[in-house]
Amino acid sequence: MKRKIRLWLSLFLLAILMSGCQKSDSKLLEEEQKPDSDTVNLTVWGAEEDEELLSQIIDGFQSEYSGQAEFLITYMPQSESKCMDALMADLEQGADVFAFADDQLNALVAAGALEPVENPESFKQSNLPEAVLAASVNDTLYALPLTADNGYFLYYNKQYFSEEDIASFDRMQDIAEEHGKKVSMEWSSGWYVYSLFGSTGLTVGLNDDGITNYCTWNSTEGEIKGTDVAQAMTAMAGHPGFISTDDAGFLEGVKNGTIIAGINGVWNAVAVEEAWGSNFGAAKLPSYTCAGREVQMTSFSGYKLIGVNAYSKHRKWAARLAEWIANEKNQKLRFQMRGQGPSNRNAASSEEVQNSPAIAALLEQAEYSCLQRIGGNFWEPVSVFTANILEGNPAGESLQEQLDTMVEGITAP
Amino acid sequence: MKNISLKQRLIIPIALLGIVAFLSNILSVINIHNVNANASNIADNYMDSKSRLAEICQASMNIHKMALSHIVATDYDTMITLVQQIKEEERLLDDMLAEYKKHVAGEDKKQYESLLSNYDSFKHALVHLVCASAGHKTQDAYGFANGDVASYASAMEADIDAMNVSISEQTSDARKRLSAVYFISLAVGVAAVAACALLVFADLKLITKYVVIPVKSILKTIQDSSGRINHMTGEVLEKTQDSKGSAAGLSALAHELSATIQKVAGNVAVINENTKSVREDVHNIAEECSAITDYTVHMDARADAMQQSAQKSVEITGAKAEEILHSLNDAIEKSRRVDQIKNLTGEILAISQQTRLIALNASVEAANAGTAGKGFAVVAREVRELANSSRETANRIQSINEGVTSAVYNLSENAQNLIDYMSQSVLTEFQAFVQSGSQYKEDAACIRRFMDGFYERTECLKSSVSGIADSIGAITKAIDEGASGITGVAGNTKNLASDMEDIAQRMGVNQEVVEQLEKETVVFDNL
Repeated sequence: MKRKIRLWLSLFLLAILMSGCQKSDSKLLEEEQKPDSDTVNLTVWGAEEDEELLSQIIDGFQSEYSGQAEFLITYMPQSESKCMDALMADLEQGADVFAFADDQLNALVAAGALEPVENPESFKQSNLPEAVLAASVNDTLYALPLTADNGYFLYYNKQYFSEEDIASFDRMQDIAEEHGKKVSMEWSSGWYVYSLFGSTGLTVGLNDDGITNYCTWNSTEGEIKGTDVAQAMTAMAGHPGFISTDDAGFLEGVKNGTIIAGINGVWNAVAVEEAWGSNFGAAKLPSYTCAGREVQMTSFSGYKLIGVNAYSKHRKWAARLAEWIANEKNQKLRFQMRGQGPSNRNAASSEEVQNSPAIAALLEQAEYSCLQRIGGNFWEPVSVFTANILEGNPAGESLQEQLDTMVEGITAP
Repeated sequence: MKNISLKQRLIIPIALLGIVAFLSNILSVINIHNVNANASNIADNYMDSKSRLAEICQASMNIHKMALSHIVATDYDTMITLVQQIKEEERLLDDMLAEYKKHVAGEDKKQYESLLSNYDSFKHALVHLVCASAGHKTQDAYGFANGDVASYASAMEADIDAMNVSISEQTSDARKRLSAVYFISLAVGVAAVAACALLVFADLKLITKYVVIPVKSILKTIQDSSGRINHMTGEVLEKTQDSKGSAAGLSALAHELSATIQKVAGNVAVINENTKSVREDVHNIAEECSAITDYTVHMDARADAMQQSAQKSVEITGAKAEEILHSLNDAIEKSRRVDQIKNLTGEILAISQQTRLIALNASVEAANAGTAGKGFAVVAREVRELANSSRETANRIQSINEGVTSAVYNLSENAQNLIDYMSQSVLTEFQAFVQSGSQYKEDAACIRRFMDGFYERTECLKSSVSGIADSIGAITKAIDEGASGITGVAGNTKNLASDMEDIAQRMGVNQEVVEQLEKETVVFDNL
């Protein structure tokens, strides 16, 4: 009898103990988020010129992952420099994967369009440190580096210029004039105009808020004043051997032979080389005469990045596609097809890339360049200022006043 | 009632009390379960629902506020932080709304669907707002904030309010049900308490009559017995303590005795050793005595030989001394002839003197003779010179003779002295030597006699010492056996003391048991 009582008592206590454990944390195994087995619809935005390249890359991706999901990947042309505006218009309906210039990174992150990249260490190690820096905000990687060539340098036709000639922009203008040709530079964009102010001691850049700019281009103090640069620009604009033209104008001039040298980026390297053949030359930017001295032209450097829309319905697959587009193999393909400099360390150090004149020129110019970190208010006032200079200042307005107006616009909140 | 045993009298009322308590508890558990079910329903569903709705409302308001903060932010860092917070808050709100679904029932379902729909639109509107804000399209951002974002936020708030009202009504109904259950439980509880009180009263009566009084009687008996045992134990303990003291004393004494005997045994052993040594020494003396006795025999023989040799030497020396004395006296007598040389040289001197005078006379005669005397004058001069030369030679012989004569006299005197010495001293010495040899022979014989006596006594001593050594060995053995016996006695005495200690301890335990028994019985004193 006593044994039975003990048995029942033991069972009762056991039941009480077990009821206490009932609500303990039973860890649910976190299911690894696997890509959906349903059709994966992805939209990719890239530069119009990259269509063929991207098509090949996308085909490669689909065959790589063919067994894992049904893909419907759509390429849509979208200018990398305007990517942010297009995306912000309707972020949730925007591309799943998109290429953009690194100066848009802050705004895209601030809009919540980009999330931190998973496993960033592998990308940080496989890409050039400057490219990683350009793809990061506060040391957090938000996009993958795609190219490390978003800068400009000097293209020249060796038929007309010796290596000594290309050291001076003034000399090059004179030679062009002699031959009835032109040396080109695009003044309608502040991106290129920066090259004239960069080494003068006058400054422009982004404030700590990441939005507004500081600018001393109208300075009346120092060895080189703002008006000194403006006067040099006026002289340059009035030179018969000079022409300011955009990308399309530059290419056209190269092809028809009117332009024998110009400041431009690697994206046109293939086309220029085709036009000039063995006379194709590329070098760092020359110096120009300002306030009676030779001033080295500087440049903005930039990187193209590939981002994944934070609101993508297939974020895992979108991230894989972005990774695929930016991998070593496809960066090499990008260089071969588009002449664009790779940000991937291995691709950048390949012999093929190292032997490219355009990339060599870009690397030579790297010493005189700085990462483009500039607020949105920079571009418009500069364009207005240069337009007036190019027109020869028809109203006869004071150069200092024009500089003041430009700086006011640039530094506006 | 008289047929019921004491065991049954005790068990029946307690069992009845237990049954009533058990039934009362079952009813209590049922009532508590009912109360718990109603209270849980209110707490888990209605209160929790209200709380969760409040959280949902708060989260949506937070998101709204952060979106507005995004517009007024003046730097990207703040915007990035805000957009991350908005997304995080949205994820939390998604989870909260999903979680809330289990609280939704009946008519609330429609309202819940409306809330989800409005929240979805609210999120879309927020994306537009944040994009416009990050793209510095502040006007557009404000447009979204005041337009879609505000309207969907209001719609969500309205949905939440409507759900809150519905929950309040359901809570009120549940509270009414809870009150009813409470009153029923109260009535059942009171009845159970009354039944228990009656049974407790009956139990008290029965236990007093059939348990307390008999137990008190038994207790008194136990206390008396225990008192006696305690007293007896005390006495035994006391006696044991005394015995223990004596045993300890005895043990100590035995120890001391053992130690003393061991010391004596040690000393006897030393004596034994010394006796052995003496025996050896005596043995050695006997041997040495024997050797000395032998030696005295030789000594006696040598003394005899020496005496005879001395006697013979005396005789030979006497004869020799006589012979030498005779020869010497003869030689001395002959040496006295040297004195004649003096006489002869005196005669030669006289002759030379005479010759010199003759020569002088001759020369004078020669001179007188004139030229005829010239040749004679030469011979006279030669004779004078010869006389001078003879005188000088005789003088030298006389001078030497004086030395020789002196030496011969000295020799004669010394030879006489030697003869005197030999006849007086040496012979006397030899005579004394002969006497000494005789004395020596007698002494050797006397020593031999003494040594024979000494040897006999030494042999007796040797025999006596051997007897002593054997006796001391027997004593040592006896003392060792005695010491061993006393050590055994000491050990046994120690064991006895230990046993006494053990008995004392056990008696102490016995006493403790009695005290404990008394203490235990004190509990029953108040019965």
